[in-house]
Amino acid sequence: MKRLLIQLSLFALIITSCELYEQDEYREKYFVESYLVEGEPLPRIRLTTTASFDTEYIPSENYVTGANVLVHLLDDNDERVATYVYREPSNIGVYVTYRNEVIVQSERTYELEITFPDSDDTISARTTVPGEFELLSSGKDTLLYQSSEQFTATYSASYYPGRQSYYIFATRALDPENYSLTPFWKMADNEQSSLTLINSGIINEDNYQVDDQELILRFPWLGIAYYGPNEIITYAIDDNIYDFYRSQSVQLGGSTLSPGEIPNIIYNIEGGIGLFGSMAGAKVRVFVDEP
Amino acid sequence: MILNKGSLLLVILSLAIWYDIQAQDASISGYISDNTTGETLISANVQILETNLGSTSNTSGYYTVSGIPPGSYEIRYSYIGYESHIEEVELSPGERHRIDVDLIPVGMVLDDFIVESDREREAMRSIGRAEVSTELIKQVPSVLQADVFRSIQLLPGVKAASDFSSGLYIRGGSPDQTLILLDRTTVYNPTHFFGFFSTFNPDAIKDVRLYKGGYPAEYGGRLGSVVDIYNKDGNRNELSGTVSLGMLSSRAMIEGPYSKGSYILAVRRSTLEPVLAVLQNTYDNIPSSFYFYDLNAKVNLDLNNNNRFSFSAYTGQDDVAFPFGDDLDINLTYGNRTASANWTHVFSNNVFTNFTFTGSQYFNYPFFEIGGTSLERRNFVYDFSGKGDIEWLPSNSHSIQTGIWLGNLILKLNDRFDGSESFNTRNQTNYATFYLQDTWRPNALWNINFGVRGNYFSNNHDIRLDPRLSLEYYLTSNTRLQLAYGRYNQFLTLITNEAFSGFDVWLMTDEGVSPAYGDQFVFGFKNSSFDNFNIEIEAYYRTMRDLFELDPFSGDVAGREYQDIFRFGKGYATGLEFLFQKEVGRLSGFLSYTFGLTRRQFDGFNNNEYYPPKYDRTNDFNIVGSYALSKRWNAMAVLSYATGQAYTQPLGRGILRDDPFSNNIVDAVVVGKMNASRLPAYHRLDIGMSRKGSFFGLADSELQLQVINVYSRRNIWFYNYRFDENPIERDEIALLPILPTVSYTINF
Repeated sequence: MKRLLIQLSLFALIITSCELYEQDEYREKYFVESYLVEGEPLPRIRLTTTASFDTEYIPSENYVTGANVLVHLLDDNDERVATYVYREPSNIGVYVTYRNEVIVQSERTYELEITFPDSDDTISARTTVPGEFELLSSGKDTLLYQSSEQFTATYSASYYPGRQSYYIFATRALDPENYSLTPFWKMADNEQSSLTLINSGIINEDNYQVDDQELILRFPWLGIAYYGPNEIITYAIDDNIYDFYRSQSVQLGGSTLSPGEIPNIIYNIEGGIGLFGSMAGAKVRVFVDEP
Repeated sequence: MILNKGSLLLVILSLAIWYDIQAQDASISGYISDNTTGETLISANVQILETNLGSTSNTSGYYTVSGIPPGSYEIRYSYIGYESHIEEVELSPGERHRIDVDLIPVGMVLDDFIVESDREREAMRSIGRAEVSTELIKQVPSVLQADVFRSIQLLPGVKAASDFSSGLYIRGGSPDQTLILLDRTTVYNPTHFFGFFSTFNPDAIKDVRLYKGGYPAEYGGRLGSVVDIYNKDGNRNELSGTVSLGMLSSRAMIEGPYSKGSYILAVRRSTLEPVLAVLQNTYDNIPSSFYFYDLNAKVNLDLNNNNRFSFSAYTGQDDVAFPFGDDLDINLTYGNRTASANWTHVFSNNVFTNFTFTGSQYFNYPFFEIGGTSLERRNFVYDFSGKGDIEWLPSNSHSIQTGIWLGNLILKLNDRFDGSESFNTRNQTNYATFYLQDTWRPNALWNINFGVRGNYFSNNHDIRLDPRLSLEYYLTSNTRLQLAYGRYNQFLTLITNEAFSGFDVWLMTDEGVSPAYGDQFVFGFKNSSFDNFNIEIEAYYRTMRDLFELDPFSGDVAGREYQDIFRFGKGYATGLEFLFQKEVGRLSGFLSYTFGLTRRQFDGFNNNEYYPPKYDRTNDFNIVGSYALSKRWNAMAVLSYATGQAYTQPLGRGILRDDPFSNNIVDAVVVGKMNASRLPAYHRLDIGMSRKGSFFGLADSELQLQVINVYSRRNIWFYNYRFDENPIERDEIALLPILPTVSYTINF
């Protein structure tokens, strides 16, 4: 028996001394940020690098300058039909195109291509812009906060190839003052500036659609952070924004993952990480009276 | 001719009775009960002395020994904690002799009376199986109140997710891979206090048997393990009861006889309201309502020697209401209800049958009112079933069991947002299972159990066959080698979070979602050569295939195809368990060690690589010791050590500065491999003292004083990161600090 115990102890020692699944180390990555909005000029593109998690994040140390940045418009066969060259007006990793006449087109695919003069690194990503949609009608434009009558609006439906549309509703306070915060948001532990633009998170079209053509929104009171004038913006989002935000929210907890289990974000970018996304939007204003 | 399962059972039953009539060997059978309470004893041992013949009582307390040549015999009945009983009997050819036996429990285990180790019973320990005595459950130091699952977590191969979770992580499986049965009825959310405690009241429980793996064909429906719990029948001889006052909850139990049988009623309720009332005057955000309760009731009708009926019911509920300042209210109610009607019928001396009708309901109703907007959920599980089991012992070398289980399972989930329905689903399935197994003892050296279980789920018309096999070879009379293999299928998955069980939702297979399945291989070594000591070593390897669980990235599921809300994967677990146990004597307890490894792989997750789930702990070590200081005083200690749990280490950070949907900077955390780092090792020492006494001469009493985490080790649950700091700061979220508890129990 003593011999058996010794053998078992040795076995356990050997097994436990082997690290079976090693922690990998930090490697710097390119980080892209850009949002194409249907009907608006091509947006700027931020290019930075990631920073080590345990060090101070100093923006100026993470700018990526001197890159060759191109955005291509593709046709239905993924052939490039137009190319837009981006410039870097100042060395802060922000790239713009001066062709303001070029408008982001609904249901078209754009491709990002970044190369570097002093390395073989390349970054590429694609986004397909959601179909345009518009506000068809809306209910009363002035409402009493938390009254039985909520703000309603009817939109034409957006379109996205291969799936239902996904939306994010955002509320921008147009005259935000600290005293005009609604009770819940006053209690919430946020800096006031962060509440001037709040959003719903991702909501599927199926929650709202009444038929193929229309989307009827009954806006929840939770989406109002300030009394007074507010702008409600409805965004239909592409796959890249959808994947980024649904996975980024899981990093903050609250999912079925155990505390301490953190997944990586879904980026849809080759050669780097970040977000090269697109959306279509429609806005409407509403005035909310304090009861 | 095609036989359906019911017809097949009838054929087996007829065959059994015919075979029984034809046989010339004698047999003995009967119930084994507690002399003082009349409670039937499960797994009590029967041995015909100076022969190799013997048996153990089944879950109804009934035993049969067949194939006995005519002659005179001494029959020894024994059970841990009871005096052995010898019965002399003369058996003639073909005689079917009925012997119901009452065993006398022994009192204090001191120098003047040491119960001998019951080696025969130890020999009946099957591979992968463990039993937890209700005495251990009540005595082991536990946080605020005695708990069944907390005691099970001390056994080798069983791990806890945290101090805050009573969930059972057995041999690398998540809690939903363990089938929980209460009086043969499935319990779908066995927790109180949002996972902190299990629902089972130790006052009402007679027997807890755990099948960690390689379990036999009579059980099924889960990939990993089974916890089979039986409530007490109630005292058949006299009125008795218990009242227990604790810091978190208080319990009361009454049991007694009536003209045709016995009954038991046990209730438990939290007693937090006075504490909350005081706290509400001092602190903000204290719940306005916070309670849980459970009630167990059982009535037995002993119609005659061959027919016994029982009706049992359980109901339990948790309720919390949090008014968080202005415009934020949270309310959660969840609970379980079960009911079962059971008929045990002795067809003949060696044919025993059991028929049960069960009903089980699980529900939860979370309700949030935030800023004038309501979010509410109504979630239900309904499971109604009927099952029949037959045990037939055609000879002393064969014990054949067969049974069917037919049921209807409904899962309902209704979500409403801002007064409008946002999600509504109702999944329903009929299920049918059939099993047939034989325990064959060809000679004194071999014990072979083989069987098959068939499963049918109507909603996806899936039929699965599960072969099961276990072999046991006696190297010596006290040393055994064991080997087991089994295939297991699972048609359900649980949406849960280890930190909080109150929102648990069950989902089932359907079109595009196949059942998960896996194989288990277990090797065991059991030895009881040394007086009063048992040594058990088991090694296991198990696979998990077609795992399906809610995709953590699924977000809003409205309008998506059912199969699109899942992620699919596979996994495996392997380990080595060691148990050194001393069950009787002044000093008793056990030492358990587990080396374990479990991995998962899900498509599109962690670069498709295998990774350890958080609860993976390489080394797990527990010492549980109880020492009888005197007839009144008893001391107990539990020391636990475990490898730190896995966690994901953030490596880098990217930033979105132009988020169009908010004015915030959005942090994108860059991680490497999922769960590739380890928290510091977990260790904790709990101690307890109990003193037995008298309650003003009217009843027996027991005072328990316990200290959890004596040296206040700040074990870490997980790391929390504060992104509003630059560089990001890491906070350690700790588990329980030192915690004293006291309870007082009166037994009358």
